[in-house]
Formats: sequence, structure tokens, C-alpha cells
Amino acid sequence: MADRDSGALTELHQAHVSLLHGLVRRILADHEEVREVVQDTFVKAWNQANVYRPERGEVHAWLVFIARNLAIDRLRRRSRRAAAMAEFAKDTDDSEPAPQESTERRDLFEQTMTGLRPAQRQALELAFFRGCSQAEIAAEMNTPVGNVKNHLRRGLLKLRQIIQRHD
Amino acid sequence: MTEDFTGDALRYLLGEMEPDQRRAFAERLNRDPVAAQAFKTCSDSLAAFALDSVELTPVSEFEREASLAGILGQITLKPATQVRASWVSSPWIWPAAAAFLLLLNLLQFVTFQTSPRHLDPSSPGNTGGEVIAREPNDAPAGSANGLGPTGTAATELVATSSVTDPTASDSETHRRVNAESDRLEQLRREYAQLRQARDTLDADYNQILRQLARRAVTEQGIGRLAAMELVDANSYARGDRKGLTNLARELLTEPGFASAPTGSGAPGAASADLGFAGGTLLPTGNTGTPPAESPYAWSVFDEKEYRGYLNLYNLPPVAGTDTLQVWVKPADSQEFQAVGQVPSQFHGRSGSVTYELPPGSVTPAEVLITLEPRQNRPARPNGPVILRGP
Repeated sequence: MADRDSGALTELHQAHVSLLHGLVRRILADHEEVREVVQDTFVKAWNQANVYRPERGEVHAWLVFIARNLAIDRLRRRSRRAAAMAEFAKDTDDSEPAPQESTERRDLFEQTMTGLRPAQRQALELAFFRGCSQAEIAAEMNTPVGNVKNHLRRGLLKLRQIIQRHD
Repeated sequence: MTEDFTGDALRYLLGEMEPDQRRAFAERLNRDPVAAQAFKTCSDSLAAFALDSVELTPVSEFEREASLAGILGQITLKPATQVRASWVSSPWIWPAAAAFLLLLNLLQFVTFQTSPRHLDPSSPGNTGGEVIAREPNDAPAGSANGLGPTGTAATELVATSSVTDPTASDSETHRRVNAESDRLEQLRREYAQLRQARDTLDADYNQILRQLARRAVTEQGIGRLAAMELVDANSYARGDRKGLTNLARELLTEPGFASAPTGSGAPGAASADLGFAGGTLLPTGNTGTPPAESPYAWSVFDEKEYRGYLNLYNLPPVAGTDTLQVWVKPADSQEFQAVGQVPSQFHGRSGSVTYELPPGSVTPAEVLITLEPRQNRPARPNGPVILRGP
């Protein structure tokens, strides 16, 4: 894609559009916004293809963070934080792997979820999907900021261990 | 890696760092391969966590195409690969060919001018008029036949008779020039054909791209429409449905997407009845006679504009003291709310109406049309159900 090959972009889109739709949908409820953010993600990836560094992350991870940051920007711009918090409380209760997911992916999901403490998971989800600062997470979880930092750091460390074991 | 590094990586990935911190962290990743590797693990694991936490939603082929068309419409593409013979299209080919021909003519002219028999027609042996072409390998240049080297790498002319015929030499030159001209003309034709083929391919490609982009724009402009079918009370009780796809075949363009009618006959025109943004007669089914078939309707709701469209068929005649009241129950509510009355000119006929809900309203989960008194209309559905959906 860094060579401005639209075929590569098409392949990338074909391979990741569903994943990114699901991801952005978790952050933004509005269908139109989801679609716009997913489009913007690929456009941004196209424009920044020359600065992508494989040694810093897989392609799907690169796309995930572009999409996540674009979606969070929208969320912040439109000041929907309060409504999103309410949705989050609802979402965390019923977020389960989709039935069409592969066994391998489901296994990893279960490992991830069982490996994380609930507070770690909640803190990571609030940070990732809602763009909450540590202070906001602390307020949401009714815990000191120091605890939130620990939850986030240790949660990510745990994730790394799980992923490394999986690899 | 320490917990501090992990915390920094998380803040970097989530865009929570100040610009100078971000720069410093990026520089550290640049100069420290171990840190870069640890960062990669953080990035990949957090991305995997995020993807594992979301519900995968299948994206239809139509949505994929529209999305891709929208993306391709926003990026600057490099020119499509063109099928052409590069040497033919090179800018120097025609001047080079012309120079070659000029050189050939010049050499022929020089050869002709320097021929001793030509210069001195009275020299011995100039008695005949036979000219033959001989390849250079046939005999060494400047051989005993009396001619010096011609200096050309191509065919040299050898006079075997006492007099060289200038007319014959010109003829040979012209033959070669004509052959070269024909060849160049053939190349020009092939080049023109290639350009034509390329232009055709370009036009096709651009046409497809425009169609996809237009489709994407149209879809984005319409937004998402929630559709449902309404039937009379008996059919509702029996569970009989005509099938929305069949009912709305003319309107629905893709599964789940409907194009809102446009033009003067579209819903949205002025209506005298309160509560409706507008109501218009459908172009068909307006015979003015009481309908023989059961009433039915289909409804779509534009979630972007909070506007509902109702196409009503075979409505029953209604007494002047009564009216057909339209109710909707938003998905987040347990109560029906009145959105207007069916215009009286549609009673006993078919028609199309539209209504609007306040911005931020939730999509109606149920639509109901009841027969109510025109005066003192109730706050909740009270009269006989005429149509109900879904």
C-alpha cells in the first residue's frame, strides 16, 4: 500500500472491514457513524502507509488503533460520554463472542477473559472503548486513580503473557 | 519490561500522551529494539483483547462495495496500468525513424554521386544498364569490380555493367522508402488501436467507479430505514402477511434499504390533517370506489431524519364524524403515541403519508391505525383496529 497500490488497499479492506465494523460499533452506536469511521480508517491507513512499521505491531493492530482513535475522537467531539457510559454498563453484561467465531479465536477469548481480573478488564474496556482518562475510570469504578493505573498496567501485562503463550 | 513501560505503551497506543512525551517515547522505540519488540507485544495483545471483546457483525457485500467505493473515492490513486507497447509510445521513436530514413536517403544519394561510372559515363565498360543488389558478404568492399567501398553497413550497390542506371537506383531507394513508410504507417495504426483500447478501458473503469461512488453516496444520503408491514386486525390475528419484500418491491433497492420517493407525488406534500408532515394519493388504486380487498400497508422509518413513510392500500370508507388515527410505539416505550390522522381523501382508497417524530426519537417498533371519533380523539388507541404492524 505504501507503493500506492489500490489492489493492496482492496485486499486489506476485504480482510478487515468486518472486524473494524464490530470494533467501531462497540464504541459508536450510530450505524452511519460506524460506517464513516471505518471508511476514514482505511483512508487514513492509505495516507499513512509509508509510516507503518511492522516491528511495532501487526497490520490488524495498526488498523485497530487507527479505527479506535478515530471513533473515540468522534465520541469526544459529540459529548456523548454520559450516554455511552450507560450503554457500556449494559454492554459489559452481554458481551460474548459471536457464534461464528472460530474455535481458536474463542479459546483465546476465554483465556483472555479468565486470565484478567474483572477490574482489569473493566478498566481496559473503559480506556479502550470509551476513551476514558484514568481519572474518569477511577470515578466510574469508584476507586482511586492509583488502583486504576495498576489495573491497566497489570491487565495489559496479563494480556501480553496470554498472547505470548498463545503464539 | 517494567510496568512503567507497559503503562507508557498503553498511553501511547490510546493517544493519552502529551505531544512531547509521545515524541520521546517514539524516539525510544526507534533506538531500542528490545523496547520496540515489547511495544509490539503490547500493541498486538491489546488489539487482540479489543477484537475479542466485540461482537463480530457481518457486513453485507453491498455494504462492502459501498464502503470500498467510498474509500477509493477519497484517496488519490496512481494511474491504472495501461496496456501499450512502450517503444511505440516513446517520444523519440518517430524522430528517430525520420532521421533513419533521411540518413538512408543521404547514403543512397552519396553512393550514387560517387559512383565513377556515374561520374564518367564515357569510362570503359559503361556499355550496359544492369544493376544488381548484393549483400556485403558476397564480396569484399572495394573488390576488383572497380567500385570503392560504399561506407554503408546495409546493402551495397554493385555495378556489373559498364553504366549504372540512375533511374534504377532511384527506384530501389523509393522501394525501400516506401517499405519503411508502410512499416511506420502500420506501427501508427497499431499504436492508435492500443490507445483506443486503453481509452475504452479507462472509460469503463471510470464508469464503474462513478457508479460505485454514486451508490455509496446515495446510500449514505438515505440513511438507514426500518421497514414493517401493516395488516388488518384479522390478518394480524392469523399471522397472515403479504411479505414486505413483495409489497415494497418497487421501493426497496437492496435488502434492508429503501429509497425515499421523490418528486411532487412523494410523501411530504402538504396535507390538511394535523400531525402529518404530508400526505399524497398514490398513483394507483385511487378508484374512489370502496375497496373490495382487505386493507394493508407498509411502512418505513428513516432513522436519520426521524421520518416515517406509510403506504396505505384499500382503506375502508370512514364516516365523516370519524377519522383514521395513526399511532406509533417507539422501541423504548410501552405506550402508543398519536402521530396524526390519515387524510380524509384517502378514506375508502389508497394513499401515502409521512409523519415526523422529534429528533432523537427511537425507531417505532409498532404502528397502529385505529378508527376514532374526529372530535374528542382519545389519548390512547381506543377504537377498532384497522391496520397493525408488524
